[in-house]
Amino acid sequence: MKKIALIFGVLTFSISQAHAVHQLIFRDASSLTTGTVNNSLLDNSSVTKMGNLTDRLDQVATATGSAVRGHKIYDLYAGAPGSPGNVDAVVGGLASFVNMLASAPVNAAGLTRNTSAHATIFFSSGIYDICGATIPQGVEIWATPGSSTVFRPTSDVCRMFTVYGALRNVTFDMQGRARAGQMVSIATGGAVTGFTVNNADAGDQTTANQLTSFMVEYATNVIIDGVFNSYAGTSQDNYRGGLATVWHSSSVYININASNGNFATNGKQSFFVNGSRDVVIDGDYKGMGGRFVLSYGGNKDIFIRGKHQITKAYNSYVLLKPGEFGAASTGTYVTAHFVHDVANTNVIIDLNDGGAGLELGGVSVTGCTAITTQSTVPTSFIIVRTGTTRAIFTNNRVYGMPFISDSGRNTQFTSLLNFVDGIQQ
Amino acid sequence: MEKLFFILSIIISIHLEAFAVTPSRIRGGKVEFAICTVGGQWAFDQDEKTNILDNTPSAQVINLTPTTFELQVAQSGIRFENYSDFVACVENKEHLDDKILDVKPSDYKKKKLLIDALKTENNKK
Repeated sequence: MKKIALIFGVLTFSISQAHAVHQLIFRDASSLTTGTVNNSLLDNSSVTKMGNLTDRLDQVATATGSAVRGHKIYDLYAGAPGSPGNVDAVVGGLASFVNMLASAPVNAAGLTRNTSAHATIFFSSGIYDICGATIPQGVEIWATPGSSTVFRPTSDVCRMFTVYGALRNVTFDMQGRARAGQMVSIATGGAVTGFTVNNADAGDQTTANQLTSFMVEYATNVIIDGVFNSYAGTSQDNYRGGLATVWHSSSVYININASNGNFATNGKQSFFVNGSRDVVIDGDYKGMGGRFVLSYGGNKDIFIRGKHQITKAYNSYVLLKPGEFGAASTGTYVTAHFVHDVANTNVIIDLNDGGAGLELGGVSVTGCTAITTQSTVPTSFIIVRTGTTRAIFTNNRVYGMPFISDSGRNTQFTSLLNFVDGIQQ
Repeated sequence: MEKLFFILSIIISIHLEAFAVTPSRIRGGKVEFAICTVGGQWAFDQDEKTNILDNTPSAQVINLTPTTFELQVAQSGIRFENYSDFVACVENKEHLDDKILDVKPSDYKKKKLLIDALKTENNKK
């Protein structure tokens, strides 16, 4: 009897195991409701994966349309005229852009700074010809990184966007136009990130045309982060920069990867900063020339960083100068890497007094490296002119050029870990 | 003749007032003197002078020559901390005295003739 019971027990256990294996392998999944299935057991031809939607935003948007939009990834989907896919709004110009903003659930047409409208709008791949558009605070326009969501200006002189909210991952195609004025104006809290700018090297570089890609004016908490595949500098000493202008603003973060700049002569300017505080200019700048930045009067805490390959004629590549809106410019910090790759004798960093009665103070150049590939080298890496007081230089390494031409007052650079070809100054 | 002398003395005094020390700079550890001012900008060699004149052809050129004492201080071999240090040595007898006292004995041994001559000249001030 005991033997029978033992055999029965073994058989029962074996059958339950076999049933479990059968259930795991052969069971029809149509009746499953919850639980986890091992991925190795799934066949792509017969199983619809319901993975992490946030990793596949565009596929969801373009492939499945409004039904899937019930997930509310974006509040509204916009497309260009004739674009494929099911979209909520077709944007063919400024009027339809405004209509899109006016539609539910965005309801933000005509707004600038506000707290009532909050919406995310997805722009699918396509060409959008537009100028004069405003993106209100609380509204974000998105595109897929690397996709062809392309905005083009409709004239040579129009401002394409005024951004109070955010514009992310789009491409600006300037179509080789002789552009003047601003491409985008960014207000307080505005952000333009992940952008790419193409065909912008034919901009009108004359002073009167005030060319600048991004204008930050009387604003705070602004982010500019993207790529310029080409651009045009604007006139040297003009109150504009071909890449960006920061005018009486604060907490502005700029990170740009720029190449193929057009500087025409050695006097074209990429950045202009005036009367501002806490401005960071960072990034990777290739094929540079002209004047990278003019930091003018009334600035406080300006941080100039990045890697700079200078291959075209330039003139005082970084120019720090007191001037309008403040006799003193204080707290400018330069920490950058410079490759001098053009036969040019001009200095790389110029601490300029700006003329009679004007003072430049509080400048710190720290942790820079400068190398040259040329036999014609800068007069010196840095020049400190009269009227510059107590500039401090520490921990810099320079190769193949003199470190400093000093005519300033109480300049601090000796025995402060500044090296020229390995020899401390 | 007296008039000419008077005008010359005024020009010289204006020049001296404008530049207590001849426009100069420290570059690569050495003192360099400007050869001229062009429209108020300092030019340290002919190339710089030409470049400035190219941009501002009508700018007034004033040629400059450092004084014997400035040259003596500049070429003494004394190591200057910065440009202000050099200017102080030219303008301030006591500062230069202290600077000479601070020269390392090993440096003094190498530059004895120059430093002694500078010391003698400074004592005349």
